Amino acid sequence: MAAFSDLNILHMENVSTKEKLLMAIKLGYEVVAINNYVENVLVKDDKGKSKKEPSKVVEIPAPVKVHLTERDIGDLKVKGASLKQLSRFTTVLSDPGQWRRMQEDDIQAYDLLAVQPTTEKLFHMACTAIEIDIITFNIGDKLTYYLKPAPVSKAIERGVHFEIVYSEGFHSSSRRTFIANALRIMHVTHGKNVIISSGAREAMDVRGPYDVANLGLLIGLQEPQSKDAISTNSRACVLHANTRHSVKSVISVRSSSELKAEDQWTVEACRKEASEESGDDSSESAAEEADSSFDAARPESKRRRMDGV
Amino acid sequence: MSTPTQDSAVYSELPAGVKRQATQLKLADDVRDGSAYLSSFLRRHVAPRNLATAAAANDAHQVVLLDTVVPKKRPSSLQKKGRRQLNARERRGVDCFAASTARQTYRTHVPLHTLWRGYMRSLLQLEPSRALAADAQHRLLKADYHGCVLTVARSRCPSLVGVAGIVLQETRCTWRLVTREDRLVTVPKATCVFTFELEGHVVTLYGKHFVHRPADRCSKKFKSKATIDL
Repeated sequence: MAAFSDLNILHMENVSTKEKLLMAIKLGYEVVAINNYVENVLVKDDKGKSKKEPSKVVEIPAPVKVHLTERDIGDLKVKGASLKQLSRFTTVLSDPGQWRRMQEDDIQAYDLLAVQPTTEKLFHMACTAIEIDIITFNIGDKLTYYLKPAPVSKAIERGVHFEIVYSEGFHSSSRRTFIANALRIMHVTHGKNVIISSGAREAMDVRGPYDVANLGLLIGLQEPQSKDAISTNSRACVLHANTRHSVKSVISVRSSSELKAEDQWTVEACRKEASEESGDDSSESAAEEADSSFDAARPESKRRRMDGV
Repeated sequence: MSTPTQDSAVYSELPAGVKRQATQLKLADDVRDGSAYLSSFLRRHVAPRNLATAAAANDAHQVVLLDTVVPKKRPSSLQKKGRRQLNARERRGVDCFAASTARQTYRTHVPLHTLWRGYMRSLLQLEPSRALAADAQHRLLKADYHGCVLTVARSRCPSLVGVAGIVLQETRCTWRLVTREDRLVTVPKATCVFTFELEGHVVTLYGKHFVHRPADRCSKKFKSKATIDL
């Protein structure tokens, strides 16, 4: 089973994100996404001069990364694990033109992209066309549209995930709609590609992974599905995000400086060869001679067979 | 004188009345005797080399073809092969692209790697300080990887992780690498993730979506897939 993950720790101005992260670590989460929620990426001119053109560009905050000390992640270190911090960007999808804005570099810099469609048409678009990782819902309010099975199955095929934010279920005012909406999502997805995350506004909103798995049973998930919703599916969601950053999901190119220390071995063979080559450049003739003498040392028949390759 | 019967009408003797008037009718001697006529008929119509067989067949009351039968010329097997192509099984049998399993050494393929680096440099217009342009990244999909030093970074098969070597051959489903230990290793693409470095750029190759023949790959339109998971 993949590591437990919470892909929605809300980043807010006045509440400490670090406190929430420490809570998540304490509860045993190994993958955490810090969510920047921007209501609208396009601000239109209210006076209605030209409705199509955005009057001002909305400043998108840079991805947040909380600095944690060794001591902070001590609970995970004991288990031999470490914390993986991801950045996530969430916006309300209320206009098809917003997708163009979302393709710009400042938003693409985030690891995970999530949208909250407001109409059935936009939900269809989010499921079938645009390149995002998570479709989320304002789960505390009544859903204004019907979740059709066709776009949902298309979304599952594309690897897009549906999110259920459990912290909305804690408030007595929204508990009923939370359960109703969650059941609707379960009904249409059959528990596939569903992730359950906290959406924590404060540290107390984060619950332990096994508690969340039990909560999954309440909203109609089977026991293994419920565990998958906080582990395997989240991992698949993160991998889908990585796929988005690759070239046609075949190749991805990074700068060598971005390579982590523990992954350096993967390019060692290449580096060795490159350094030897640059070293050989000065004494190329000598190297050639060595090669030919090496060749001559082999019997004639073997040499021919190798040439034929 | 025997009465003529239906089976032997040809061979029967002429009627007595006709025989009596033979001289007036100017009948040849051999006509008066059936067998003599037949032998002269055969002599006239059958090729001399077939005569013995014809006579023997006649004695045994067999049917014999008197025409000289010329057998139809069948196309020789050589001509037949020239016209049609080898089928898949035969092509596999010829196995002309198989890398020789004879001991391959790493050092003999180092020049191939040097050549490949030069090819990549010209293909991608590499500059170490700048990020790789989008079109250059797309060119990587269609590039030739013979001579590249590949490393298996991740794999479903743990024993393959860490295998590194110069690509000697690319097939649809596998790479054949020559390692530094002079081993020829066949690595499946579908279950592995490969990496290599080029002038300060680390390229990761997700083998799962790279399962194409190299010849097909250069003309293929790649489509994004749901996940790069193994």
